Amino acid sequence: MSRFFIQRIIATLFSLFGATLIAFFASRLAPGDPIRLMMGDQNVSPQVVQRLQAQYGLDQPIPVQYVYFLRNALTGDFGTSYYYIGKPVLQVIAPGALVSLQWESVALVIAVALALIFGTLSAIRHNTWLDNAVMFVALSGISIPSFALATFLIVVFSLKLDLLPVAGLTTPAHYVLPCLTMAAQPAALLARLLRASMLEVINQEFIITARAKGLRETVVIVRHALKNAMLPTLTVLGIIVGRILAGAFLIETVFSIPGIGRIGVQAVIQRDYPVILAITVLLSVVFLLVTFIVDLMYGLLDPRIRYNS
Amino acid sequence: MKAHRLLIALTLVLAILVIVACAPAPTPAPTAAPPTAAPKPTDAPKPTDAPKPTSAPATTVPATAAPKPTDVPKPAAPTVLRFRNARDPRTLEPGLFLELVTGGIAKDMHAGLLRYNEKMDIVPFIAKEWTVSSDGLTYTFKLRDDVKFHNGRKVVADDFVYTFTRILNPKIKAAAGPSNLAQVKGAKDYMDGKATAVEGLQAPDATTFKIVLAKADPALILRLATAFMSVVPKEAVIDGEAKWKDKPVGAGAYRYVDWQPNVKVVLEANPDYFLGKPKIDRIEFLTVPDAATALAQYQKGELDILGVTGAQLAQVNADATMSKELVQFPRGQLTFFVLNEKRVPAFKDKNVRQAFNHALDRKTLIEKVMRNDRNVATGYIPLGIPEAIAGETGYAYDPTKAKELMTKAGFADGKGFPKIEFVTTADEQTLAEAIVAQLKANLGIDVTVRIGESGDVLNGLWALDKWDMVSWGWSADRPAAEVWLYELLYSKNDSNFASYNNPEYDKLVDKALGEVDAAKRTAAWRDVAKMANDEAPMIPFGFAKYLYLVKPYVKSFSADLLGPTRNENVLIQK
Amino acid sequence: MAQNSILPVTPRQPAASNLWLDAWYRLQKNRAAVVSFVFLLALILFVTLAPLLGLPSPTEQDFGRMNEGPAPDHIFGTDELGRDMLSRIVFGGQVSLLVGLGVQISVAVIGMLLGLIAGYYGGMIDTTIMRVVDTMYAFPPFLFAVFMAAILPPSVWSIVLVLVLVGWPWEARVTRGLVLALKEREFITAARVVGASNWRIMLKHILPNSLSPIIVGFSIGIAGTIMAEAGLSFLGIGIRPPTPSWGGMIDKGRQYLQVYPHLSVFPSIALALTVLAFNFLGDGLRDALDPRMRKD
Repeated sequence: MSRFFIQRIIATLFSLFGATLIAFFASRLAPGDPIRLMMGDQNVSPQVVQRLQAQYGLDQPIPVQYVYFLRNALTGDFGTSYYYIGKPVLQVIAPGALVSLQWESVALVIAVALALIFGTLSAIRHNTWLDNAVMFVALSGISIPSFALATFLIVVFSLKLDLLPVAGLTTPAHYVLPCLTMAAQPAALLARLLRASMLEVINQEFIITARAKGLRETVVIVRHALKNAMLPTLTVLGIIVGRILAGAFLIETVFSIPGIGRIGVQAVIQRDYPVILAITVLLSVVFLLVTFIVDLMYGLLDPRIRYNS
Repeated sequence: MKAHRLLIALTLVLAILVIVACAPAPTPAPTAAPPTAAPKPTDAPKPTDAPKPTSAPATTVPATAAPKPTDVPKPAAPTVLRFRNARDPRTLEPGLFLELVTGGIAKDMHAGLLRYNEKMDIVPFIAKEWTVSSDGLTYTFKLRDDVKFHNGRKVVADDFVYTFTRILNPKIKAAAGPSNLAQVKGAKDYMDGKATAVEGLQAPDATTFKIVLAKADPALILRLATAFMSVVPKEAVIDGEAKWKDKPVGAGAYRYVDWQPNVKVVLEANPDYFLGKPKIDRIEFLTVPDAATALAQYQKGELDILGVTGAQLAQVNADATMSKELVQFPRGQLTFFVLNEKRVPAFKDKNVRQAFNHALDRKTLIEKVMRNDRNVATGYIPLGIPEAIAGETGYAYDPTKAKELMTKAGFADGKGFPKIEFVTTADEQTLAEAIVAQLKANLGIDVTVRIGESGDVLNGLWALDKWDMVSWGWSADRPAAEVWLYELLYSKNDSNFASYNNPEYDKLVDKALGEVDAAKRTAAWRDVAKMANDEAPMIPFGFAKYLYLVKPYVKSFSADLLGPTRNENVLIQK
Repeated sequence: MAQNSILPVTPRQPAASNLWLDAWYRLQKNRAAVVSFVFLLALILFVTLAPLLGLPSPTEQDFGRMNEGPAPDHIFGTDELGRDMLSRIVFGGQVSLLVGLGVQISVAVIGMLLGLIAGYYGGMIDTTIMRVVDTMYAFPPFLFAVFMAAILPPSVWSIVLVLVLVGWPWEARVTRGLVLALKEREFITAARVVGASNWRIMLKHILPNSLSPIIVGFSIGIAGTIMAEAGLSFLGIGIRPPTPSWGGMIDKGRQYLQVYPHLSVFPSIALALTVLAFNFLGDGLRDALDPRMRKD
């Protein structure tokens, strides 16, 4: 196992390096001089712009800039935001990361719970009206763009029914709409995949054997069928966490949630390079960690996969 | 059935998970905080923060700043005024960045030497009175002696020396200094690192502040009256860095309470404000990026005042409540379309430029598509600016004449005219599509629309050779014709986005800029304006308006040409 | 077979040429899939032949009739410039379908191929491919899309390229996971013992056996792509006007949900129906391709 760990860590570092490399060069290739954008529509002379470029090291060749970035990043120094004047990058993104972690985990829990319930139910009641109804709702969940669903929910639940607040994230009531909007798609995706693999598992000999041994149906389903059916969905779970992180910016924008996705999009729009790079590193680490954990679970659930082979 | 039990179990698990996940997550709602929090002990100035005896009279520092009885929580609920900003301010230090969001908050938090009244006249603020020497080089300001920073210390002349030097410090990278104080004696040497102080910024005594210029600069006073030139206390900022030491401190009507990035900036009434404590207890500037969400928040009562765009007027007008709550103020902004001569040589031909100006039905476009979110631009200087020419008509919608002009230029029915791209932002996408259709119908030319994020559009503008035709707006930070006629059209200017180059025109501008006599200056600028109108270097499209939805319980909210007025006199009467 | 077998796939005979014919018969019995199939065919035909249908131009403006609800001459109403909504939805469908199909076909080909190779060969090849996949996957996709949109010229093909670049790693990972589970199975070992070539084993034995989850993925993928295009529209970097696209129409229309719901509801319905149909068809194909799913 330890060799596997070392391999994974090296692989993770490699991917991180790759991601920052892409981010760095893409950000420098993207049109838009950050200094000009920093100045907004003020009339600033070219000399001032040049001086500022030198101060931010933007007059250096791009590879040199990249080496500076790596060197500083290794010490945890991501520099100062170009947008928030005088603010260290970590101060800009840390609160956002916490906020995203909070509401996105709630959304993930809801999504997984919904998927487990409805995916399993649908598989057990395969080809009944219940199955059809669940799958129809699940499909509808992935058929409406989240930003449209979000606006629709605001109009119905906040304005027409006057039940919930419109935007922000201050009270538990504020969590309801964004979490539901967020959970809809991953829940539908997971439920469908779970149903599919449950159906494959449920007709297996070992399930039939388990039933024949007289085990309770609940035990058969949860202990044997669900456990085995979860493996293929696990691969997807990692990706689903990725999708939640990736799709969050739409929902964070509509609901005015100060999360990392929204900060990231704004940073790209403002060409706030230091913030973009730090967010890339942060999100990459999260993705890679999740992938890592999923692989580990894969190994735990499937004894045939050995990591030292 | 056994499966039912499974369902029940799973549902329970879900319920528990949701409850567990939701319960600890939210941070305590700041809006639900107890009424008017009494100043925390940290609010009081520490003795170490006091200015050194050499720089200010130490006697102005109160020994203690214990909470006064008036600050004890009142039984009545505090009044709160909630605004929307589409994005966060970039800083809460006024001089660091000239930008609308930053300026909007700075206006309430900070105070400077002078300010504008509702008639756009410059009136005393911290300066009681001021004199200008006959050669126009020395400005002497007499300061009030009853002005205190939010940390309790008195504002003295040295604070202005410090603040203005600070924004000229190249390490701070502030824009307000170099662009507003460039003519101050010694400013250049200081910026180049050749001097440790700015010679022209002087404080002979605690209530006298002097600015000595190297070269006459009649517009200086106009720029000193903007919120960006407000004073900050030395002890609250870090020397040589664009950072507050602890929390932002100003001398304005409202003081800093909290800034949660991407959520809101919270200010509260300053009981010691030198013009009297404002009537609203608290102001919140909420950061709401999505316009549709902001409108819903206003409808729901989560916002009290909301600026709306032309695109949103369709919805506002159709709503029985909101249509009654819409208020409008003229704004000192020209919206225009750049005809880039560098990109499209055909625009060097005056006939082509005039044809484009005649080809657009401004009135119908503004009325139908933009729902009168602006007035038709009749020239280059927005109405209300002193030099604006009343009764000017601008270019009439005249497709026949437009066609004739195109033929004269050698582009009959648009034949031979290059395919060009019209660049605009998402807010004006509909307008752009309508304009492109009119250019096709009236001039026979093909124009495609490109929607860019406003930062990218702006960036392409400054690059000068990126966009063929682009829609933008240019706002007044001071009520002067030079904002448009000099900044946008003078050939040697960076912001001459059309790359318009006409020595005759430059000569007229030079004459107006150098004119010391006020009446002659106005006449000179009007000559410039007339020439610009004939030459048609751009397509002036509209004179903007401020459009606000204001809840009926908010009283005395207003905006002048430069922006919403300070909130110190706004009332809430529920 | 082991008790704890994980992905129980019945070995299939390599020479099952009538497997697809069987599947076709089974598909015909699935009503939802048939309806979806017919709907999608009709839709594709409809949007392809749109110029011949005599619809009003999707770009012709009429300031006298802006934001009108459904009327006899504009059955889906008009938009904020008085343009015919039906016509815009039909022409917008062209773009959305083109993007959806184009992206998913490219993603499926690239992702499956690389996933297959990585999973089957293992070792250094696997490591290399998966490092690239992880790197691409680790890169926050929305940041990537915004970047690319800023660099590439504004066209439909740029959007296809962006979505392919963002999409293929997922496909590769899924395929690799399936291959890993399959390649240890007896029938693969058997094929190897008989002396089948690696490519033959991959294409004839592993690929068909991992096809059903991939087909489900494909249908969801098209749906996802159409939605992703809509997401790009939300950011203002989707299909450029005046070319209509469903995502763009929904995003603009949602601003007026309270007063002119038809502006967002009709394109939303068009998008949702299309996405639903792809999903139903995918489900139907999946059931049809997998004999064990047959109804008793």
